[in-house]
Amino acid sequence: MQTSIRQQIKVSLFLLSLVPLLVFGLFATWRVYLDQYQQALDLQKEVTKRVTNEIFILLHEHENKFILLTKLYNLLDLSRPQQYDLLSRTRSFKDKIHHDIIDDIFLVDNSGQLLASASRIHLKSEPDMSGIGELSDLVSRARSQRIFYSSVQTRKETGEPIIFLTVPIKDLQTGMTRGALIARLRLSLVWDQIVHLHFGRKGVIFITDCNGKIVAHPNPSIVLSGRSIDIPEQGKNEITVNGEKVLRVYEQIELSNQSFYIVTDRLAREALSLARSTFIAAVVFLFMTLLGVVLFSVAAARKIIHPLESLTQTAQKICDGKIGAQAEIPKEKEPALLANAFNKMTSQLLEDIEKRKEAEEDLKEYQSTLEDAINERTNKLTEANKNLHMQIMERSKAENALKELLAFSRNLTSTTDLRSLYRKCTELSKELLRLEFSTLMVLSDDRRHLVLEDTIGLPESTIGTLSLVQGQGLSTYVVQEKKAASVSDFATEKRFEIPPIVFEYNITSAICVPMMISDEVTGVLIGHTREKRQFSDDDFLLYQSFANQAAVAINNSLHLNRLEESEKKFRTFFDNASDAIIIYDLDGKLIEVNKVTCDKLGYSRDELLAMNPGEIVAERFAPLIGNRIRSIVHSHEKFFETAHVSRDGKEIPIELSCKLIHHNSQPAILGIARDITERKKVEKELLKVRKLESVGILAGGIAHDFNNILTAIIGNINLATFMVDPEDDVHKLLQDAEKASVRAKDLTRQLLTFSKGGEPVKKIASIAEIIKESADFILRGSNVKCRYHIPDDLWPVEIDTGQMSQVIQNFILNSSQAMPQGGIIDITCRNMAGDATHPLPVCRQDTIRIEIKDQGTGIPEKIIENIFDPYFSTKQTGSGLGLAVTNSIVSKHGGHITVKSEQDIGTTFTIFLVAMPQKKLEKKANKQKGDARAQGKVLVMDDDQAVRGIVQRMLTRLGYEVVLAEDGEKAIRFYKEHLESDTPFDISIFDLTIPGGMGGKEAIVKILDMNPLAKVIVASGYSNDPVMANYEKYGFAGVITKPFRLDDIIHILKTTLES
Amino acid sequence: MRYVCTFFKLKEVSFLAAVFFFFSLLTACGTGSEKKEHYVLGFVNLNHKLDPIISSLKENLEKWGYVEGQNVTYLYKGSLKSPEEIEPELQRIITNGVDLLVALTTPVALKAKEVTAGTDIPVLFIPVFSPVESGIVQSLASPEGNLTGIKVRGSTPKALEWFQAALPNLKTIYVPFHHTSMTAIQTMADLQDAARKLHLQLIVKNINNEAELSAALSAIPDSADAIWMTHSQLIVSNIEKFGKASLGRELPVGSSVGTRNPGVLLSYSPEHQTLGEQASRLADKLLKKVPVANIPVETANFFLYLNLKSAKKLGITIPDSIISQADIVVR
Repeated sequence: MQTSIRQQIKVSLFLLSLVPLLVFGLFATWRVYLDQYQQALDLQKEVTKRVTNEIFILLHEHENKFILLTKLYNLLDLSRPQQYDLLSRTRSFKDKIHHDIIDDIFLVDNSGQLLASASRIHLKSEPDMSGIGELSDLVSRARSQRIFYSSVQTRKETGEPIIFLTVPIKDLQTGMTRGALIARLRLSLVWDQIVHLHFGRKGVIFITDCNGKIVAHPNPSIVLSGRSIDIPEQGKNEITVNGEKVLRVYEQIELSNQSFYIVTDRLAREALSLARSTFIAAVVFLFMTLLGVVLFSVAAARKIIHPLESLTQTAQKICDGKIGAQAEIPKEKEPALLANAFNKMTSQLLEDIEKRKEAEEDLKEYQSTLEDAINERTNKLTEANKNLHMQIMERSKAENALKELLAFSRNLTSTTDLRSLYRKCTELSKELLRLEFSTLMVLSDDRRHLVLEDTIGLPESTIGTLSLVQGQGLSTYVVQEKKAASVSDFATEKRFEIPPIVFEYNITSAICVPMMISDEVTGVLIGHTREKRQFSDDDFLLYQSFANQAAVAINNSLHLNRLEESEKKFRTFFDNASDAIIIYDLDGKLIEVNKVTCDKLGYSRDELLAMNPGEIVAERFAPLIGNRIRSIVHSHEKFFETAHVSRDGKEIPIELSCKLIHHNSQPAILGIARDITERKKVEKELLKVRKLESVGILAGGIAHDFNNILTAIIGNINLATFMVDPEDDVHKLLQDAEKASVRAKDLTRQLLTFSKGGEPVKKIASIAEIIKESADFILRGSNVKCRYHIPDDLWPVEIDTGQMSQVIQNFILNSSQAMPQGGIIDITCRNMAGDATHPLPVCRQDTIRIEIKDQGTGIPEKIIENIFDPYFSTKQTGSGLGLAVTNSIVSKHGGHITVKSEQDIGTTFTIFLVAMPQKKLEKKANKQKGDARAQGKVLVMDDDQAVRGIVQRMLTRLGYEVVLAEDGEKAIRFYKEHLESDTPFDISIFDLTIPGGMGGKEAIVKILDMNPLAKVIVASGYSNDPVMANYEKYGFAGVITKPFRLDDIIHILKTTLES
Repeated sequence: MRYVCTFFKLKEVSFLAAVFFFFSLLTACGTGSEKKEHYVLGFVNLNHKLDPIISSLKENLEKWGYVEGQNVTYLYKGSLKSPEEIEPELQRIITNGVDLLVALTTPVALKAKEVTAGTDIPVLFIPVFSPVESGIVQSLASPEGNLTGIKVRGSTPKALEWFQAALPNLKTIYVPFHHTSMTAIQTMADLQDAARKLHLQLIVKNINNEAELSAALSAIPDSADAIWMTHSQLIVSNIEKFGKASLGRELPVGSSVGTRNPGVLLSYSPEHQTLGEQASRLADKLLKKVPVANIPVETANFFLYLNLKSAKKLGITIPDSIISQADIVVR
């Protein structure tokens, strides 16, 4: 390895100045640091010692005070007041910091008996002995030790540290211990003396007991946590606390049986900051000096080395190709001589290089001439070789074409794919006559176009798209002439119009032969060449013979394809029909079945084809099979209703459409069987509905008439109660009669609901409220209770609240009657999002599901289907209308009811109602209360004389003047007369329907024409009539349903007149 | 510098720059000084008679290294006139930002607890009669929350004992009692308990306001041998009235409050100067971020006060043994 002169000079200079400087500088710096370290430690020791002395003196003062007390006074022989006085004075004696360090003093005799005490806080009669322990133990210890200190304790209630000091009281003559003085000292006041004696920012003084447990610290949390420290060995002052170097110094206080350590901690970096600052300053100075030395060394080295570097750089340039580079001539003599000699050497070298370049140029020119001659010879040999190879290839292709022609002939009948057949024809015909273009064209079905079906040479895009009509091209000419023809040069051709594609592809000659089947042309084969060619007779013969074979093959292929397509269509239709399709022979035996038949009947196709017709037909229809076949044969087409039996024995009602057909050239019967199970069910339901409607119409009519009768009955009874003394027996009888009439009113309400007239008058409502009100109403006083499981977010429903209340009441009544011994009815409601695939139509939209489940005896299976039939009842009392009405109401709401029952377990009725999740609930209107005006004129229109009579009596009793009308026409006339005579009616009450006359609905129109402010109340026994629900829409000012009581009349008149 | 750059190669210059940087850093580390902290203390006081405690606290804090104008600022606008001013004043001080809030009297401490709830502002209460019973803290030894301080309850039984010792013929004591004050109720409980043990009879007169206090002091029963002054904001504020009543009826006044008050013959109670000193020690701990739960509530140091001038006016001779034990004697 080469050594650098520059580096050597630098290193030499470094060593001469650096080593002595470093050795001396570091030594001096280290000495200064050690001195200052010792000074910091001494200072800390001094502080520790002083604090130790302070505390030692403080505690000793108290010790001495007690010793003096015991020696000066014969305490145990003094009277109690004297003892207390002495103790109190001693306790009150303030130390030099004027604080009550002594909390309590106790005087104890030899047996541990408390004789007297003085306390800072407590009464002398109630000394605080907590924490002191057994007094006799303390006296006993005092006997063996002169002074006795307890361990440091903490007061539980205040957290204050305390210590007990026990001083023995000895007989001065015998030296025997007679008792003891015990003092409770408040150490916190002692500790407070030291905690503020901190030194430095991070210095801390604290006290530990002899085990190193901290008993006083400026941070009380450290004392409370019971932390201990390790007392370091003497002479070892530097320790690590929480990852930081700390200088720790301690002094011990010996107190009789106890000892404490006064410990001072100070962060080493703070204590030694002066030493470190000095150390750093010295090091900085040292290194600055070193830096000067470095600068000097570098400058000196540069002065010596620079001329050498200049020469080196020039030599490097020459190496890099700059031959003419000249060295810089330095000022100094020796390097200048060296640089001159170097420059001469480079000039001589430059001349030699020029001569060598000229010789190289000559050599390059000779090499170039030789390479050209070699390339020319190589090209000629390559061309000859290529020609030879082409000849071999052409011969080989011709042989292959011949082989293909033979293979085509052999496989002609086995090739069925039409497209492959076309391609084969064009390829082989091309090879056969060594044509450049080979094309096959087929005559269209209408025989007016020749369509290009395959080609080699012409663009692929012409396949299926290029078609020629008569007169266009050689091919149509051949079709017309039905014989082969050729063109030797299209440029001179005149027999037909030449298609543009001929010229686009520079075609000159062509040969074309017809493809013939039974003397009928089906297409042509046509071949083209770009070069002019005369086709020989052999060419025509060979090409025509090939075309004839191709025509037969193409014709066969076409027929085969059509047949397969037809079969495929039939199979698709047969297998994918939605109905079962069966083909029978004329003996009724199954000879073909589709997939649906197999699926429906549960047999495989093979099983069915092996079965007799009687095996799949329901037993009652089996004897009819023979007659039915005969009638089909006779009329060719027939339609029956019958039933099949599936593998699992289930009977499937079907509608069988039969037709006489030919199958496999034999007469057969095609049967299409449609499953009509669902239709049968619907028919059954429809029958039931019609039955219900009939009963409903009847019930509605009865209810309406009945309400009119009840109006008279209830009205009169009600009126009579006001005429009789309430204490009278007659009053009681009238009330009973009125109650019975009200029950009759409820029955008519049910009848009306059930009838056609009971169309629900719907509004948005909460079903939860209706359920709770209705159930509670029915179960009041019963031993059956309801449990509700109804979510808060139950969707609203659009319902007739009265009717729906009736539904719930009927179900609850039914359930409660099923539990004569009492029980629980669980009512559960929940929202159900619409499911398009749900079997129940109502559940295909958003619904709420109400489940009413009892713990009753259950409904026997044989009657469960009849429970919704009107007048069907298993109870001796009851109309049998309850569940029928319920079913009717739910149906009219577009809902659905299901029932599930298990004997002795209970019955569950489930109601599905259409929900209105987006709708908001309507607020209940406040009912007005009060009496009607006691005067005024009222027009009453009703066809029922009894009703008119009772209304008149009621109104007259209230103080109204009443005018009666039997129908709408009379009412209008009376209204007009009174209006014109300036004595108009204040209010009118019109019956909604008048059989055979004008009812209230029509009359109100004319009344309002006369007086738009007319107040007319509509009354009807059809409480559920839409007019009654939307009376304002029809122009009425109020509504009242029959039958009504006097209170109802008062209320409606009051509210209407005030509105 | 320009000469140096052209004289040396770049590598050498880089090396030298690194050397300079290193030594600059070393020097800066060695001579760096630590940041000096500044503290803000806020005082809220409802009784102007407690101002000496604040003065003492400030004075003693200087011993701990907190010098006003240098590293500590005090926010105190003087004693408040009514309890309604407490909350606005606390809010004002908290808004200004304080390191320690000093609450003087029980009502202020209670309101400070409410206002500083959820903050980490430490509260030092002085003097509070009974912080546990008043609901300021739940434990004296380990106060939870952010409040600690000095309680003064505990001196009443001993004060009564000293009063009895000073007046050997004492049988019946008249006690105007501000019965709506929690502090007065607690004092009364201590007093009644001690009186029972010391076989003394108390005549208690309920008062609600200053007028009733004046009326009560002007209608002292004849059977009363002395008057007792209980802890209460109302009573402490009207301490002079007791002095007048004492002289008017020639009845001595005893108390566990009102140290150094000329109207009181004897009291055993905390002393303002010492309370300030005691509080300064706690304040130092709180400012040094010692957790409040680790700073037990301290009981004030009690001092026996004797006013021999009053005794002379009343014709009472106090036994020497009592005088010798008194901490403060007014002659």
